Amino acid sequence: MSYLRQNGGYYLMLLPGYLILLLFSFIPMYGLYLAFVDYNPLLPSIFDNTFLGTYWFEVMFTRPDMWKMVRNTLLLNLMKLLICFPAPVVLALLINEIRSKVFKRVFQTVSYLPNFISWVIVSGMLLIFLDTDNGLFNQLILLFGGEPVSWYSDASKWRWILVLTNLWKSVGWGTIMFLAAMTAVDKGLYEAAYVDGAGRLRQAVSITLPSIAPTITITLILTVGKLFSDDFDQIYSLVGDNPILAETTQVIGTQIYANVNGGAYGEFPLSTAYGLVQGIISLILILLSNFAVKRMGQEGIW
Amino acid sequence: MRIRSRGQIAFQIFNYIFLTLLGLCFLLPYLIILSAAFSSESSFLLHGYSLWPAEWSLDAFAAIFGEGSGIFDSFLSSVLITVCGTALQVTVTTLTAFGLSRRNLIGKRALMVVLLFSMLFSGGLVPSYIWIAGTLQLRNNYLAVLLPGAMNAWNCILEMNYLRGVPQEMEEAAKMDGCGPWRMLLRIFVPVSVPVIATVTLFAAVQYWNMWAEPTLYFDSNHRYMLPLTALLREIIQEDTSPSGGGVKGVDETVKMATVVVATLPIICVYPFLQKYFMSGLMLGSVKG
Repeated sequence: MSYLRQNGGYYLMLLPGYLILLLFSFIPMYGLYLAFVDYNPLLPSIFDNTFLGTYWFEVMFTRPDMWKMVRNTLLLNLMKLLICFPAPVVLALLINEIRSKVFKRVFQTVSYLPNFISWVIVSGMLLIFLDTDNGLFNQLILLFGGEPVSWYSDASKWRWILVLTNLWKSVGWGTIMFLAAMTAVDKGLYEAAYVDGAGRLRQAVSITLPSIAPTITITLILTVGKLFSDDFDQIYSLVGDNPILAETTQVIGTQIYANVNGGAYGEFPLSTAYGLVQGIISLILILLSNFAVKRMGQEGIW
Repeated sequence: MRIRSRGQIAFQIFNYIFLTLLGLCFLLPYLIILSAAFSSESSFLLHGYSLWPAEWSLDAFAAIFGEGSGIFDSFLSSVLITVCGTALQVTVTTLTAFGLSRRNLIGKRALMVVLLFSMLFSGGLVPSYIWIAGTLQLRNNYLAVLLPGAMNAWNCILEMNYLRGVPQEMEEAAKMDGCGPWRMLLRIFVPVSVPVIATVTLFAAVQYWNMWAEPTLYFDSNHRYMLPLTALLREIIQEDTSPSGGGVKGVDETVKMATVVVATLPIICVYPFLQKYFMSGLMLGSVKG
């Protein structure tokens, strides 16, 4: 009793947060049942629908766009893993070599800014470059006597556009954790290395890099854990419902959103099934990568 | 720490030049957009995008804030959503983080597992939509976009990690003086947690200001004035990104760019002033206890 009297206040503080989680994270999960029924939106409860078992999961594999979406998701994420994951590490090492405090600070302010800008704004910025008539890229191409490109109807270029815009938006912000880890390095180590005749490059490779290794692993787990998730916000902001670009950019998240936003009730059960499969695979991936890191003797994310 | 060889001097020069150019890459799009927003439509059509307006004009901004554009309504809606959403999320998340950061709280492990699970798995969009729009009947209601994000698990963990760094002696001294949970939170923990609270406030404000998917989903065409600026902007820009060339609604290019400027301005104005907080808030919060 006295425990409650002393700590009741703390449980009261937890109440609003857990109520929100219950209402908007956990209760909605009952809707996953939709993936197993013949859905009729007019019925009062989804549990009144006829149960179909694994029907929709079998339908999924007969749809040609499933493999397209899986391929797009995996390819985009692999390209991001190869390009957008190492880039902040390199950038952080470069920033670390800057000695002017003012320069460092201004650069950091500027490089973090894109992180706070929405993808919708980025899609507006992209018009500057890609607009068919006024865009800078086409103006440049014309200047050098080439044929203007109709960027928004050329699917082959969009994987790169998505990866590079992602790099632009995330590389600066990505350095923040690495820079934090670098400030924690014992300055005496550098002094000792200097006395032993190690140059700056040697110091960066032998002292700075190992000291940020745990941060690199954690970032890597998170990236690998997201290998099967899709960046809906980015893709739908930049590409939207453009049918031509769908060939290289459509992913499960964008298709589900288009279905829900368009009120395509007939697609709801299949969309739910897609979402469920993707969610489970993503969950397994992140649990596995965290487990792997712990086995390697490093600290995981939990 | 000292420059020794020629190679190192060369590297330093290269490094400064490279980072300066990279910094320009981050800034240039904003400058070009500003220039387009302040150009007259006719000169823009003639010269296209440039760093400096060929002919200055405020027409685009006049069009935004003029009657019947709908853009100003959206701006007000964005402000409403951002202010309410941020206040709500920071309050709920901070309370939860403070509660969970208590040592010896019975049931804490289970509560942590629940929190973690909510970050790793969700029912997905269709179940959420059916629950929020169908069962809860929150269509065309601001609550539909405010409530689901009111508890942010990531920010909660950031705050918890920060709170763990607060010396235990402070807490014990306060307990001796008969401090209850609420006074402990308001008098002791909030004042020492300013950096991390400022950080999550910035994150929450950005999250609500940039939100477009949910409002587009839950607010129908009869309630367009409720659409926040980012959602409206997405619709306006979509004309240009469709392969047919668009131009259906015929919004001037300069007006689009002026809308981008208005939608970005609050973030650009506020963020540099919070930077000193989030640098320390994020760094201390991310150090695992």
